[in-house]
Amino acid sequence: MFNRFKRYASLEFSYERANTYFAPMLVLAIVMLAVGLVWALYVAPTDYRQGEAYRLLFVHAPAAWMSLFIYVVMASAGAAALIWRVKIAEIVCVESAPVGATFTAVTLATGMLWGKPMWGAYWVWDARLTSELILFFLYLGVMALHAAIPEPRKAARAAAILAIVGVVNIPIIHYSVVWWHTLHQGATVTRLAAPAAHTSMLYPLLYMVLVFMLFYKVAMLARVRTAVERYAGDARWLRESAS
Amino acid sequence: MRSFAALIRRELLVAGRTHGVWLEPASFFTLILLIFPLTTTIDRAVLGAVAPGFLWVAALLAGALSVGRLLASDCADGSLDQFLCSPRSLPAVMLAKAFTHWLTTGAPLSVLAPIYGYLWFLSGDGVPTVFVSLLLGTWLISLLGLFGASLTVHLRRGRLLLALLCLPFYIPGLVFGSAAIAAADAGLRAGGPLALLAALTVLATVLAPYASAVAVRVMAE
Repeated sequence: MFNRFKRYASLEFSYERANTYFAPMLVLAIVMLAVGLVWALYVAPTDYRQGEAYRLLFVHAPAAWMSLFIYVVMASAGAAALIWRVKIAEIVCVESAPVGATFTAVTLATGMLWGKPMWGAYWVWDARLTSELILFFLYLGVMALHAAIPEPRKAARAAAILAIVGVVNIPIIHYSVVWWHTLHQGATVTRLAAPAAHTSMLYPLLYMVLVFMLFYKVAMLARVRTAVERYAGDARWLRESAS
Repeated sequence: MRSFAALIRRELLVAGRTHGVWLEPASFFTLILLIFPLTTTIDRAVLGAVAPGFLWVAALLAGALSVGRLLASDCADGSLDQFLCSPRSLPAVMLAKAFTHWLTTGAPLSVLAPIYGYLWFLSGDGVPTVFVSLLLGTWLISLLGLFGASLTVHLRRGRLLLALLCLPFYIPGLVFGSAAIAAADAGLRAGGPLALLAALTVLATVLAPYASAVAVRVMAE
């Protein structure tokens, strides 16, 4: 049982897996994204009040969820890296940060584009917007700390500590900012009762979440591959698989 | 407990024998609060309205910029390695360091701050609330700053990075602390935000020394 986990945690195993799955997953992700975009941008009905501009939601909301989800993944991987000193967990933790930061930037950009026609301004000092911007800087902090330390393993472990402390702080920061000021609409999907969005809009939205998850996975496979090459250096199995 | 007292005594001695260390943050704090009216306005209503936030930002900068010093000299002269080797608990060492940092920077600054609150035209209840709010808040700043300092102590370009890492974590304290002053200034009760600020402080008192200890250990490997 434990040996099996050890095998999963080995760099060699992850490298092989990443090599095998990257190309098929990439193709799958592109196909699914194309289907999702057609569904969200053409098939889904126009919103009664917001018109066509609401379609940004199909990119905005999944990106926002991913930005939080990836932070949690990053912190969990960081905990595994600190507790069990699993190398692949260190890599997952560190390599998740730029992907998460990108999703956060996408969330902010699409939110601003949507805000201009809906609220009349690209930016308002609203709680959700502000805490998303803070999240962006939390990601940047992890990346900056990792970049500042020359030894790769020490850098990864330092970034892991920061990610864990960050995940404790995110709810506190979020609710302090909510308490400070809010204008953003309330949750329309995660309410425990029936979601407030109609199924013709809800299904493409959930499908887009799937696509974004898949994209994260593809990005991670590519990043893990290069990171393992940096980590393992001139290990024999790496040289053999390269030749 | 005795070793904890000895640690605090040592830190205070080090701080006391470094000339100007008591004065620097308070002078910096004063200068920032002097510069703001010079560059903006001396309108009574405007200054009074922004005073809670500016007092907090000034205190935050004074604390965040001085916290890098906390571990730097210990790292340079090897005391940090001695702390790592000693059988005493490392979180206790970290707590003692944060406490003395607060005692030498945050506490004097909080004593001075009501004067500036008065100069910035805060009304009656706002002025004493500045003291309470900053007394709690600077302790929070010291604790979180210590965590950042322990992650960046060995790095050459650590100072600015330290500020970049820590500033997002200060936000809840800033929000509740300045809200308390603003509420008192408006004649409302400041108890709610102050209680939340106190809760944050307690949470940080419990967790930050452990996080700092883990960070110091990892960075020393």
